[in-house]
Amino acid sequence: MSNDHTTAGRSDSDALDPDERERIARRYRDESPVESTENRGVYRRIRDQILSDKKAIFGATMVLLFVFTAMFAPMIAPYEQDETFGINQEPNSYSEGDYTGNGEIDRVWHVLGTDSFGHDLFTRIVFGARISLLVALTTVAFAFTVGTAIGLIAGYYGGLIDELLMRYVDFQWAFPSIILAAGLIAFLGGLGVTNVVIAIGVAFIDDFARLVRGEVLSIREEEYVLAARAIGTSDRRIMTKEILPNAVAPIIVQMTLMIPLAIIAEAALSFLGLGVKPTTPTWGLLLAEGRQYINQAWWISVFPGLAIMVVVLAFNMFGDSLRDAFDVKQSEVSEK
Amino acid sequence: MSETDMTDVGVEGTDRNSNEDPLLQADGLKKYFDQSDGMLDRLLGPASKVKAVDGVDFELGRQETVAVVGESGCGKSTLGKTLLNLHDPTGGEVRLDGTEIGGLSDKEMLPYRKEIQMIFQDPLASLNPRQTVGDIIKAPLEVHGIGEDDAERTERVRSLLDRVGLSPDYLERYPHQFSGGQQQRIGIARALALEPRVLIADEPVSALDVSVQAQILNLLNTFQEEFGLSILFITHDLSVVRYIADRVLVMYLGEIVEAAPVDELFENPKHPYTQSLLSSVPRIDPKERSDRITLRGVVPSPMDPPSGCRFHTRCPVVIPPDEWPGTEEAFRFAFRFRNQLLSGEIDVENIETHLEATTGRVTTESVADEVIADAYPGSPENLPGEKRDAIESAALALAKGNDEEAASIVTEAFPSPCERRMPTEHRHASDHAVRCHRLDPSAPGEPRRIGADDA
Amino acid sequence: MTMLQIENLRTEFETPRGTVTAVNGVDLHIDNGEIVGLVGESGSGKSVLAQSVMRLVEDPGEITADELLFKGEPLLEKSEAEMTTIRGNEISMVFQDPMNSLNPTITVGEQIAETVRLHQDIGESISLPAEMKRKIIGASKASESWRRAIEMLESVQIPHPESRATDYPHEFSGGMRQRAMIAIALSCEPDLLIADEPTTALDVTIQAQILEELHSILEVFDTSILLITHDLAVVAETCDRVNVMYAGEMVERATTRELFSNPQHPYTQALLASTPQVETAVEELEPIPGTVPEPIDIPYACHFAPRCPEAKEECFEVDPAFRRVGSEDHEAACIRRDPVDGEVIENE
Repeated sequence: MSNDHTTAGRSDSDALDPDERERIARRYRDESPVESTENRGVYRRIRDQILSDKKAIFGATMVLLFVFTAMFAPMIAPYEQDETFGINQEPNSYSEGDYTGNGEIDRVWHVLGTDSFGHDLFTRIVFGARISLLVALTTVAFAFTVGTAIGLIAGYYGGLIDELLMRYVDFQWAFPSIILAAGLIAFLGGLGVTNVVIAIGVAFIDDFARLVRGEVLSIREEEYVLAARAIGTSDRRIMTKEILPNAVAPIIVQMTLMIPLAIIAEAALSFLGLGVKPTTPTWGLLLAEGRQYINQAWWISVFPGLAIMVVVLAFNMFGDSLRDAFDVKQSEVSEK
Repeated sequence: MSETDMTDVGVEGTDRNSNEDPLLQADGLKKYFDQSDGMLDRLLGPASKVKAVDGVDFELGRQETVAVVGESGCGKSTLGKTLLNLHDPTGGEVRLDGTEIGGLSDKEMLPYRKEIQMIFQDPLASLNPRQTVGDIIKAPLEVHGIGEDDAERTERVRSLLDRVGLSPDYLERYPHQFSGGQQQRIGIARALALEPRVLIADEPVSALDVSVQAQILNLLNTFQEEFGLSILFITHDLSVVRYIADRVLVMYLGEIVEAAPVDELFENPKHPYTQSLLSSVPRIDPKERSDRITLRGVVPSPMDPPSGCRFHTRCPVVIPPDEWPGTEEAFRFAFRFRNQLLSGEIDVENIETHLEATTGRVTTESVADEVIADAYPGSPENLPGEKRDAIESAALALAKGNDEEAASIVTEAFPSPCERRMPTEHRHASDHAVRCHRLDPSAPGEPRRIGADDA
Repeated sequence: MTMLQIENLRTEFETPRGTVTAVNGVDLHIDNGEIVGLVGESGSGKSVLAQSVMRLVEDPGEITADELLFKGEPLLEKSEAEMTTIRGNEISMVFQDPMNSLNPTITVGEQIAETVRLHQDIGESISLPAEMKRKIIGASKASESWRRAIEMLESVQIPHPESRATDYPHEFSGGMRQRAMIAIALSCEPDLLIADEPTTALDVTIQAQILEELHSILEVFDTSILLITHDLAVVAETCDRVNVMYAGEMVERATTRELFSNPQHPYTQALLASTPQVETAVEELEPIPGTVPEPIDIPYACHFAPRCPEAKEECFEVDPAFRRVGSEDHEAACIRRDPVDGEVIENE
């Protein structure tokens, strides 16, 4: 048989023994640059992706600026949020009056003008960023938690559980979000940040539930899930340790894309007078107030509108880029 | 399961421990898959079922390697997963060391998972891409509460990695950073973490290169000796079977058709299916090549498997009925015609278009002639008179569109004992069991190795 | 006559991690009416070699060669338009997974007919509107291209080709799909057929049929075949000559009979020793230790040296040139083998 030939050569006396061979091979291998780049992690990939995309840099910068503004609103805003000055002042104008209460006439600059109550518009927008961010984050967090749980359970167990949960999600999906939210506010009774968060959050559950269920349905069929079952892993552990980590990328992308929608929804509810209390500075309320004066004082609604637009755009660009970064197939990174 | 009684196939095969019970035993094991999805389908009609595993009996002895071979779709992979309760069995029993484990819920099954583990065909797919090698191998230890604390478990993982031939420093790496062979080693380390007694290996080397394949096979051999593992080795690769197995089960359409010790099966295959399977394997050494037995037709759908012997639709040595007046060869041609007709492979409409295009005129007679020319191998001239008439009248009926009449004519004229009853198990030697009518002493015809006359 | 003559072919990919030399100075020739085998494990570069011949290497692949002659004409100097004519007309390819290579929405017959129309002048319009119409309402069953499609299906032994031609790929079994792929590849009567692992996804019984099919193609169509596979036994049964590749380099070539009865290169020997065989019950397989190196800037001379049982220090430093090691054209690239006639073939 042909197998004999192998041993024939091996008896050669001057051949290296395996250890020696390995030693020489390693000497060569150490010079090769192969190992160094192998450990490129997912975070570095995302960073590289964002840095290589101008839109993503813009998006990320604006998002950071937005978050920064919200966090340090009292320091950034020139005046107190409830301070009133001359009403309907144009942008880049001055109010004159005794605003500090010390008997002297102050001259106060309004970079973006004032609204119909005499609030400084720039101050209101800066403080409004707070509410918008707060509402957006808590809303998305709420929708994410409930939606992911529904999607995970429906997708993993399938059958009757899936039917029931998804029929509910279908029902919610078929119902216009804003009307659902309005209905919920009415049901919860009264205005306020908490009610707005619950109302929008509930309206967003279906997006997460569908997304996660779809992911789970495909991940569930992966062989590593079967392997986990074969070693006796409990359902809960499979869902949290095997399935969820592999669905995390699309969920994060979905979250970044839902934040602007939440901002818009909050603005819309406030605009309709169903949002937070009318005295709270939010972009939606400012927009709504400005509507009545659009002929005399365009700036009252235009600037909050611009703020909404820029932030929404920024989140979208950031989210899109994040999706691209996650979209790189595992194999493309690992192979060769 | 009286008619599929192969319960004690190869008990003596486990000569090492012939007094003890087999470690793993399946008895009439069945797994059907429901094809209808959703409630609507279930309401609309009777569920169609894929009979992936249909009455399988086998035993796996201590420290024995039993290979299950068969072509894709024969149910071998489903068999492995059903044994592990990864699929709920539809019927039958699975006993692990005498304890019934078939159909246990995940919770009830948990303690037995320590005893019976599995490795998979695609090593990368079976490893979670978001977990490190350490996490992957540690998971079974955590699930079963083995080891005092995390540090001890990590230490175990390191020694497991070492045992499967990987550096313990690879703990923090991710699966995609390894080559296919190394990934399979990780899979083996995970399966062996629980020190099981039975390992079900589902095509563990099919995705690997030959040189690496040999590494993994040798690794499995070593572990078998060290741990006294029993291995159920599922594969389509007969060369690998020859190397690794002690005993072989050949599967066709959800059933085991032949079971024998490995050398016996390769040197003296009895079932026509095993023979043709073996003859199809390409050989490196020209001296070892034999005449190839080509199988005709496609593997029938497991949703509606053929009656009697499931292989009868493709069998090159199908048995003529007692009263058959002609030669065996003539019967097989006629039988092939019959099978094509019954399976609806003959497309009259197309024959009509074809005739129209070539000759310009279509009559029932010309279509009938064409049907015979198309589906009957050779010419029906050498058939006995009345049988030739049967072929012709069936073709005519088909040409007229009377499919049912045509079907009943051929079924009546060309019956075979093979389609009428299930072949009972025949024991060629004490540990060599075959299910084929040819080898049944009560059936007519001498058992013979099928030759090239049909190829 | 020589159908394909390759000398010193290199295919390189620039990547952030270095230059991947998938094919590293390879020689290969195929004569008229020959089935030539190209054996190698994954990562050997055998598929990239085939793509290089077709000039189908994806970006950023760079192909260079001292000679890449197809029927005496240099392929590397052809324009992209000329290559398009050659692909499919004169060289065609069959891939491992037939399901991925067939269009699931078009009938098998129409897919073959389309190839016929595109590559052979049979007087049927191939303008976009005409093709669109065919895709939507189906090709005329009386057309010349359809008739040829049925002939092709018949010639690859598909039963009832008339009715089968109107089926969609998913209605075919795995073996029939591969037959259909071969029919498409043959429909323009190529001079060279490159079959890249054509039977790897198939069952043994079907594999046997397809391999037989390749033989009859050789006789009926007078087509030369390059059969690429990892399976030594498939090559042993099918090919006239065999080339063995390892990590981008050719290591041994000979007639099939000579190679398997007298393997010389340590890699070929080790590969044979690690292959389980169906006819003999071996006690112990001898695996090749280690893994195939990644083809990125391999710093040592003989790529097999780190895994080779016979390696000595020189093997890491001196490029192994081909030398005659047996009868006829049996050559191996290994400095541990003394040339039969004292002559070392210079080409690297």
